[in-house]
Amino acid sequence: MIKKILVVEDERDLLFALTTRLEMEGYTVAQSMSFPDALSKVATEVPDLILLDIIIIGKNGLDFLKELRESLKSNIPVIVSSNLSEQSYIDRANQFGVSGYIIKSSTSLDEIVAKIKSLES
Amino acid sequence: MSVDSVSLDLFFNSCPDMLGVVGADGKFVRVNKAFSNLLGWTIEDFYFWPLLWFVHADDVEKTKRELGFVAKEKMVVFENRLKKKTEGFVWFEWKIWIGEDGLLYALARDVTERRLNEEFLELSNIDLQRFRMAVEYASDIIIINDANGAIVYANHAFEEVTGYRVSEIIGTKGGQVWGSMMGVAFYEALWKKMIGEKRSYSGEIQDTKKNGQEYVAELHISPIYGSKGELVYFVAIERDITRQKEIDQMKTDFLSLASHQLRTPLTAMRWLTELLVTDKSLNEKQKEITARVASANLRMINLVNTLLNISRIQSGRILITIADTDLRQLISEVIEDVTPKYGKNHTITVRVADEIGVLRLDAGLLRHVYMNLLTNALKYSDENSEVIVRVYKKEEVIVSEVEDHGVGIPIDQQNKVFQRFFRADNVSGVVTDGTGLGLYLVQMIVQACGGKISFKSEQGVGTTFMFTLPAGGMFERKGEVSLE
Repeated sequence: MIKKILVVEDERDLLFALTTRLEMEGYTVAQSMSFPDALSKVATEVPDLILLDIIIIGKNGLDFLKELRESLKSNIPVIVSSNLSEQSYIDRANQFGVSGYIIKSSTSLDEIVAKIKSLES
Repeated sequence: MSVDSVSLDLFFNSCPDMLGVVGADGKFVRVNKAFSNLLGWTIEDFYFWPLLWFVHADDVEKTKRELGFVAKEKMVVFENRLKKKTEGFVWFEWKIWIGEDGLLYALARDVTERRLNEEFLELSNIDLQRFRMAVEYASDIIIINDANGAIVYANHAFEEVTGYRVSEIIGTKGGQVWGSMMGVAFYEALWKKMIGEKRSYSGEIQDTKKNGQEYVAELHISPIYGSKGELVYFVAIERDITRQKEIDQMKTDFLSLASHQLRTPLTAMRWLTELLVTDKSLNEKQKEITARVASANLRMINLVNTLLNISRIQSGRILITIADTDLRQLISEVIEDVTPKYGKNHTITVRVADEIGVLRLDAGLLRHVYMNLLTNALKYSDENSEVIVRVYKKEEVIVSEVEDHGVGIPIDQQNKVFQRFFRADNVSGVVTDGTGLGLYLVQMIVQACGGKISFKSEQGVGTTFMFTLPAGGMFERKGEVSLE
């Protein structure tokens, strides 16, 4: 059962839209706009799911995933969201056992909600 | 006439070379039959016209000059051309001397064949010269290696690009002095492979100039065989594509920038309007406005995505990932995706021939093709009409057809259908959400997959698009990008 979602997104408008929509669905949302902050929130907020923007100003979300899986030994489900569709990113994200990879501009909020619900069942 | 003079006369007229006597007025007083046999004029013609009248216009001056020397030099030898009665001319080699009677005695023979051979040789020399210049001053590096791979020639561009002098590398092998980055072993393996497989090589190499600067080059090497089939030379042509590579990289960087920077605000608009649409406090008018903003935003996203896809295919970095693909399932998924927006009331018939089993294809790329063709078929035909999708095998290809009974493409515009940004007159004002890029992209995808696309269309009757795929499946291609 997914109750709390950590949304890692550095674009305020996108963070706002995602948070609003997820809260409408009854989820509790923890927000983070940087990878170090997100890593600490994994421990303090204990989310059931992470919605991860893979590129945050000059930083690579793949490092975050590596840290999450290898150092924190966390198996929290992660849905990667990105506007980069380079296959190499998708392949590398998949190596860290992500539960989904969405291209933001091609995905509606409804579809994101549906994706999250499909992980719950 | 004495016997002597009779036989002299016989000798004169039967001589295969031309014999003649010219008077002080420049006219012949006597010519033998060889003249008229060769040139076609009658003997009377030769007595009527002066000698110069028979000379080729370009040789008249020269002939006058030579004849002018006879008095002083006693005999002149020269060549000129004489006009034939019909078209053309004959090259004459003359020997003309002045007799004690003051008349000019002339002996001439036909040297046309020799002259033409000489002209041909002269032309060949000019050709050879031209080829030499073309090779020497070509902007690409041209290097000739002997059968053992030792360099026997390098052109001017070699010095320009690499900074080495030609004299430094003559006799060396690729990789010894110049070409050290790829190394001797690379070239040795290359020669061996080319000799073994009797074929040319094309590839991209990296190299260093004399000053240590690196460059990227496109290299083509062709083996040259002698008349007995023995290997004589290798001719290598190398083009410096460093700048081109840099531009490619800039384009890639721009693409990545555009995809991120343009899509982020577009995504924000998409998600924020989506939130607004669900806001129950909006009145009807506000809902309609929001819906229009949402639809315009989606069109913008589609346009950006299509442009990115086109750039990706053009960059040649497109990834082709093949997997077992069931076309029936793929087509029904596409129909499911398309019909909520278009073709709610259409009858869509899918006929996949029984012989079509699971194929090794890139489902992602094909989805784009079917999606585009089906969307067009539904968009440009009446609701309640039928759209038929057929897939069957024909010889070595799998043919897919999408047939509609819609507006059709005007005949005078059919040659532009696959051009970028083309939209036919009969739809451009009616259906407003077309970009004119769909079919252009479809054609590029089909070609990248090893297939061909065509169509037949009649205005007011309908259109059928047909594309082929290799029946044996597509070839996998390692690339960096996929379409979306």
